[in-house]
Amino acid sequence: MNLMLIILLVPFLGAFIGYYLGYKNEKFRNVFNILLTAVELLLIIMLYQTVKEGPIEYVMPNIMGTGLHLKVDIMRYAMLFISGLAWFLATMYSTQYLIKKKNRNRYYFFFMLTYATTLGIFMSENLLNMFTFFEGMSLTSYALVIHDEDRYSHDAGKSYLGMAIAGGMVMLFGILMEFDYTGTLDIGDMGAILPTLGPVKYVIALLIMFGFMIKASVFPLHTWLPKAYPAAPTPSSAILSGILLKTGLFGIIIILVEMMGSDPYLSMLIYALGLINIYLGGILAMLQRNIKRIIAYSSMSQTGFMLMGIGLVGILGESGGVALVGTILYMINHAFFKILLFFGAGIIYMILGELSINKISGFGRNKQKLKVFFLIGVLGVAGMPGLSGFISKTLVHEAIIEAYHHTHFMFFKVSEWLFLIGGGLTVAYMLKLFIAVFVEKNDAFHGQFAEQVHKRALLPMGVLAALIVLLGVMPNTIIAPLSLYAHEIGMEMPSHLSLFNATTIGYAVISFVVGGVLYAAVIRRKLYVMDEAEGRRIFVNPSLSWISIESDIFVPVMQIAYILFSFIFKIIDNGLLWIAQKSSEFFGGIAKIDAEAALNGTYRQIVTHTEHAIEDVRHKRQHQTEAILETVSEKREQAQIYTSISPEIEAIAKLKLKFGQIQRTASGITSAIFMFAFVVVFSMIFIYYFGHQ
Amino acid sequence: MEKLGMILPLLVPIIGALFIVNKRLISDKNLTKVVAVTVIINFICVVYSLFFNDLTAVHILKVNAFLDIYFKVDQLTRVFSLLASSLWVLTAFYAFAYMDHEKRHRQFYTFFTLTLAVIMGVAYSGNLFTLYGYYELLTLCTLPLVIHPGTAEALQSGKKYIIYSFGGATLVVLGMMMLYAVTGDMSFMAHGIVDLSLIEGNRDLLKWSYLAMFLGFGVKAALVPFHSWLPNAMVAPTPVSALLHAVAVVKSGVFSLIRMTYFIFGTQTVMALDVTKYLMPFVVVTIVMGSLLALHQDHLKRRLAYSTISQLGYILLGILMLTPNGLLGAMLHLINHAVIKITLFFVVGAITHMTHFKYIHQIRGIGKQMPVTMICFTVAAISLVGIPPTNGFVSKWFLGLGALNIGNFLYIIILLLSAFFTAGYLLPISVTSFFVSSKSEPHERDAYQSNHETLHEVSDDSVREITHEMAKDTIHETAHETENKTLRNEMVAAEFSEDGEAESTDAKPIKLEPPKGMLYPIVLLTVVIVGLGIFPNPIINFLGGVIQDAF
Repeated sequence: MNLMLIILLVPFLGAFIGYYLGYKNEKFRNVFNILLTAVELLLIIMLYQTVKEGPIEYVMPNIMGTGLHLKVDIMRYAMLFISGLAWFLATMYSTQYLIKKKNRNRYYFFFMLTYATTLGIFMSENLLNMFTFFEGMSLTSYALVIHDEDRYSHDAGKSYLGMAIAGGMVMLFGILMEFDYTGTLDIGDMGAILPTLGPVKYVIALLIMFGFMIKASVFPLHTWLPKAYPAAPTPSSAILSGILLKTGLFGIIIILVEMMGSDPYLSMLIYALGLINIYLGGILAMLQRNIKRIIAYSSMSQTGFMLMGIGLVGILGESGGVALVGTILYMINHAFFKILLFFGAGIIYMILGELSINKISGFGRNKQKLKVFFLIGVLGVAGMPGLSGFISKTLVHEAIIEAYHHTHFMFFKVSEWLFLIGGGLTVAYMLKLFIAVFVEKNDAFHGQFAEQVHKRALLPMGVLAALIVLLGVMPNTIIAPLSLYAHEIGMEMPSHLSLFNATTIGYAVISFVVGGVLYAAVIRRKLYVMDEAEGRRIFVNPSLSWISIESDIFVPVMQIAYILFSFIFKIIDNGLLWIAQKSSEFFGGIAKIDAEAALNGTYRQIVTHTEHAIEDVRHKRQHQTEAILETVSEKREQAQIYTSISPEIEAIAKLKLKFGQIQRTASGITSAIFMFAFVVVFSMIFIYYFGHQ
Repeated sequence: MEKLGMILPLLVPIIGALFIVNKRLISDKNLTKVVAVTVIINFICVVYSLFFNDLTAVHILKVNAFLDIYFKVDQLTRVFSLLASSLWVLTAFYAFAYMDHEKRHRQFYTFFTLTLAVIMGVAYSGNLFTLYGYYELLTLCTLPLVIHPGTAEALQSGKKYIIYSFGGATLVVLGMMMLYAVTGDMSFMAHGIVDLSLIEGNRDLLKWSYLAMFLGFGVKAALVPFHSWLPNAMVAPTPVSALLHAVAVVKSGVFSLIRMTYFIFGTQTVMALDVTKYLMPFVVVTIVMGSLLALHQDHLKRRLAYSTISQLGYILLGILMLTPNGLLGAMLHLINHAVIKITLFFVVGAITHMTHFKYIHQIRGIGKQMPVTMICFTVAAISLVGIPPTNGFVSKWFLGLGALNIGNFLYIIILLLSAFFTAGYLLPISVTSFFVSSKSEPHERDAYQSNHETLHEVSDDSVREITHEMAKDTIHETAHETENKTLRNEMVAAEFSEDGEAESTDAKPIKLEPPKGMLYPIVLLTVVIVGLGIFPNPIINFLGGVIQDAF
């Protein structure tokens, strides 16, 4: 059996075996799952031996009609590797994190299925396979998002699933169009045909990209992200941010580079969207008070940097090697940072059950290991020289400078500065997070929770922190194979690439200075205010009252459309019935004109009135009697008139009977027969008419 | 002998029904056995007559070209009769378990087997006249099944059903007359019998004939605005609804439409007549309306009924596209929708059977009690949405390709929009049953709330929405439901007292999986759903014969 296929199948089957084991014994299952992910990671490492020689492919015909087409090259391998590592660490971490949670068995089941489908996305060379795995991943990860089964997570899950399915549908539209125009589903073959098409290729690319953009939380499709990340259990948040986000970016790379042949217009669009993402995510992250939300918005902001990198790959074309290497490295690094940070947040949540930095400020002051690991993550994201984040940021920055040299387009000069200031935003919100949790003093925490920080939860963080430092010090171990890959697909690296020199470190310093200033001027001054009730300074989040894309635009528009269409279709739904009912009521209405009763009623009324009047009369005085008797006779006369028209009443009664019959006919089964006869006669006339023409 | 072998599938269920109806021959105890034997023998006969019999056409009674009872076997017959007879077997076994709590078994099984004979007749018909005859019989045979509960509501629905069906049949007769006036022949032929040369001078007549027949057969295929009998027919017992929706009635309508469009008129002629433009608006409205209104239904079966309307719209759309891919998509969806919808109905029936729950808000947390059943439901739901690797995706793929072949993006958008709605009305059922706990412990819930309300800055809107939902839920709590709850609690109590741990609050949820007779068909169908999704090629090749006949 092919190694790629084994890699794909192991977590898939493992999910079921683990589920079964979990029924018997939870401990077995935990050990089994850790072993499974370890074996899987080993398998992925084994794969490197063949991959470094060149891309490997595997085709299994007839699956889903189009066949299963797997391919691994260096870029895909990098994604596979970080997935393998992330799942291994997250599984280890989960066994600690989930102790107090319910439905652990279900959690691991979907955790492993998400693993299998994610690996499938990174390996598939056939667009339809990729779509399949992508949808599978969306559905299985949904179960992870709503694991807590409370209102908040269900709300987030609704948003997550709704957008994922909508994205999937749009994507399918694109894939259908692509297949119609090119007649192939293989990504490699498409790369030869698609760029030669006319403007329709942009429609196709954007439609397919739509689904990936949702996963990558590209503005304005990011609305699910700040809800889903905090809602999910922490290991899932780590996976969501670390790996699942990358599937979206990976898809965008595949479309832009492999399918569209690095189209410049599309690249510019992605580049610009990246800038928006950096700022929107960065500013919102600065305002948040929930640790997980800060990290979630940070993911969105970091996505912006990676999107800029992807855009640059397309813009630079053949000399885009540095951008490609930088972007892939950025993706790898970001996975490490985010998983590390989420794990850190998870440890805090495990102990305190609380994530708001107003409540947990100063928690980590005495927890040295946690503090160091978290600091490495924070500085890594911020791009501190010596850590791996610096390398990737520098490479992307180099690519921007190169783009300016190639095009001499002022926009790149401007965006270079925006890039650096965006880096400053990262520094600012990370400082806020770190200082609030690990530096501030708080009398409530004096190290009493130290024994609750489990070794098995800290170990994954340590591994990640070590990797971040290692890659930061020895970047060439990973840059070398990536440059080789870039060379293979026809993108050249600049021959002289010096990562550590005064200029590059200077750029990092600019970002740090900007970040420091932002922290001091905005966060400390404006967002950290005195609270009268608490008697101390707390963070405020003014963005709560800001306009929200989801609740102020998407939801109302959809609601209005929904109500409108429901109204129209309800009319259509009941239209025919309504007509039938009204016509039936028409006949029935005629029949129900109860003339007889109406007239009788009047008559009876008059009579009783008269009798009452007579009764009254007896109790009245004599001289009034005459006058009253007159009235009585008057009334009697009236009654006389009514009785004299009894033949008319009879006629009406007969009419009523007749209409009653019509009504019964109209609403009964017999009406079908009448209808039948009517149509037959009608059709006879019809045919007669046509026959004589 | 060959003649007999050919018409055996039409006779076996009738003979079976004759036995079933006789109280002296078949005792109540043996009733289900006879039904089982009948449907299985029928299945074997179908396979024999389709694949091992050399004779493919037989005239039973031929008075003239019009009055001609004629049976023929071609690829389309094979597809439909195999589908119907195999699903009939599954439904029969499901019904044995389900009908326990219903009355009048004998009547039910008699018409159940008779309907099979009629469906086989529909499938085997060789000309429009025979098809029409069986089409009318179908209404009559299924009516007693629809009104089986005997309640006022059921009778009312039956009345509606019969009025709509006969109205539709009338339109068919009208169309047949006009057609016969032009062609003088009504037998089904590959590529159609209406020659292009006939169009000259008869254009209007043929056009009206097509329209009349399409709308006529469309009644059974639940074409808007002739669809409202279908949600009403939900009062029938679940096996019947499943059959009505999945194979028997609605699919015979669709089948007749394929027969009429591709085997009477022929692709070229329909294109030349240019009638599809009048019918497409109906179909598009059918698709969107069905799925949109399904979102509004709280009654499980009604929701599925509206879903059927929408899904049948897919098939009609595929038929009217008049492209090989479109027809292939329609045929695939005919099969796939049958399998998916019958699964969904079986699951809903199983829920009702086990718990008497009929509404979505009642089934919270039921996935923990009937996990296998609800997993099957989820798989079927995902398939109906059209998410790979399930069979629903395959048919949607070809429908989409068909729409692109005629260069119409609107249809794709409609298909995808409807698929999105499908997700909107089916997935919440799965989510409610699995992920919304029926009764979370109060202290636990408080803990969650206090955590999350301070933890996550829930926006005002979502809070309002949630309170609104809660209010709605409270209103829905009917007396009936509380009764059921007590019933269930009693069951729980009984379960615990047996185990001697009545005090334990942390016990595992009780299992409410339906009896094996119901569970096995559901699981089997789910396997088929995934299997056809992963390996669609054999069935696509099998349908290739139909496509060849049509184009």
